Amino acid sequence: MTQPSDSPVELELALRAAREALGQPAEIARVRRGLDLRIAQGSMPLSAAGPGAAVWPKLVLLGALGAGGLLYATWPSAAPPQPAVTPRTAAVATASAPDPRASAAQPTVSAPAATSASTPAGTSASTPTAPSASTPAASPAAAQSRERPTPRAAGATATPTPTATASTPAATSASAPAASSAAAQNLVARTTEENRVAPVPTPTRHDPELELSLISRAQKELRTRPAQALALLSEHAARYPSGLLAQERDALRIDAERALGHVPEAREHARRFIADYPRSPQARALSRWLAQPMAAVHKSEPEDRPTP
Amino acid sequence: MSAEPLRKSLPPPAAAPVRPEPRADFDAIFEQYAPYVLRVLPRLGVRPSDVDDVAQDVFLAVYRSLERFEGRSSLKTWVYGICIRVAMNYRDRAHRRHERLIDAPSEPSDARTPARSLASQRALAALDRALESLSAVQRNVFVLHAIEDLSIVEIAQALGCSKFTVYARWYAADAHVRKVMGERPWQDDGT
Repeated sequence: MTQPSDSPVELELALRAAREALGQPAEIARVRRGLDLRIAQGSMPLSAAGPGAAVWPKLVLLGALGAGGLLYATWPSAAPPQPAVTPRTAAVATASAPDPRASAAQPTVSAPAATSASTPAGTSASTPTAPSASTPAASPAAAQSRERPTPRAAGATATPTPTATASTPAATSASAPAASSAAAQNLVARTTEENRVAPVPTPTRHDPELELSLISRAQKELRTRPAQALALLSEHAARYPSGLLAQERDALRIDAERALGHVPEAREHARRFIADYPRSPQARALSRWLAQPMAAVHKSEPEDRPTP
Repeated sequence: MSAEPLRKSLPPPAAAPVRPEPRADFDAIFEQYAPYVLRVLPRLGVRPSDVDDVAQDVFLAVYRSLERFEGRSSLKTWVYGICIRVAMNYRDRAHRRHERLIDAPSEPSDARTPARSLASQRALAALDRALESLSAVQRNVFVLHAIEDLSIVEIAQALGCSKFTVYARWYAADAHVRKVMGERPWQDDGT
């Protein structure tokens, strides 16, 4: 590189500082974890819609809020303006509209609009290939969006995502954007009628989007609030002990424990991680870390700790 | 020279597996280039808070395109070329959203190394301001040459333009940065 002799001192200083600002190990590990997560979920560009904007978790959250709002509006005890529903009105409503039980009986995991909006075409000129079809977390939604393409991306925020669909059949039917208000009222009537007999049990089935949102939130919290991240990871472990992202959870838990100074626990979990996932990219880094003596580990912890 | 593309276009022998383990190659590339990608992105105008996400975009592109990498340029220039394109894409989006990409002047422009001296932080902040006043193409050339130490030929390969174009951009960018940095008042500010 050519450096003329008359270059100002401050420029030399700035260039030297810029050259020394290589990525730190904690930063590299953070990028690696996020990258592995994105590769696992189908290479969804987080910053596609804006700089640093993790769009799809926001869409999931908005969808959950929308579904929650619809659930609140349709919940019998929380809807005082609803007229008193008698079996006759329920029967009339059922006869005049498609049977909602059909949609309720098939709790489809679908977030077509949200998924398609979070992966706009041409988001990056250097990432032209399609996501691989073998990704478990994104494949149901991708299949849905192929079957029923959504022409308007603006409808994404209003479309409920399956985050809340597991709670009641009402929320499940909300995943169909074409559901008419008549069908919703019909569903209210039926739900009211059924709830008088027996409360609807909460289905406990696996929800990939919710699992993903837990891990993503934990990953973001790790930078600033590792204790909160650890709580989220514990919640994930309780909900999905052998979930799709169990490996990611275990790796994040080690980082959170290291960030909190729980070195013995972190080392124990690191050993278990290496035994469980010997071919993981993190396993090599963890092996190097474990190879250090405890005193050196304690000394080096602040540097390795995720920076805010 | 003319036989080289012809040889590459021929199908490989059936017995020779083509990249049997691309993931292993990718791991090696990530380990080798991640520190440099994280270094160059802030200088290309990526906000420190967005560096992680944009670096993931870079390596995602590397991961997807690795099997199509033909070795016509070195791996280093290829990765830097992807960095440039992803960063420009990021800046275009930020421009469309009318976002301001530089932090407040009082903050250090790069919070990743808090132990850095105050003088270095100020100098780096001044450099970032100077880079911000360059055109995108001049900025790319200046960063790759002055900070990342790529040669003019390597930059031409990474950017896909002629080396004369790179020279022209380098001289214009260098003169501009020196002019702007020379006018900074902070150099007498007790450093």
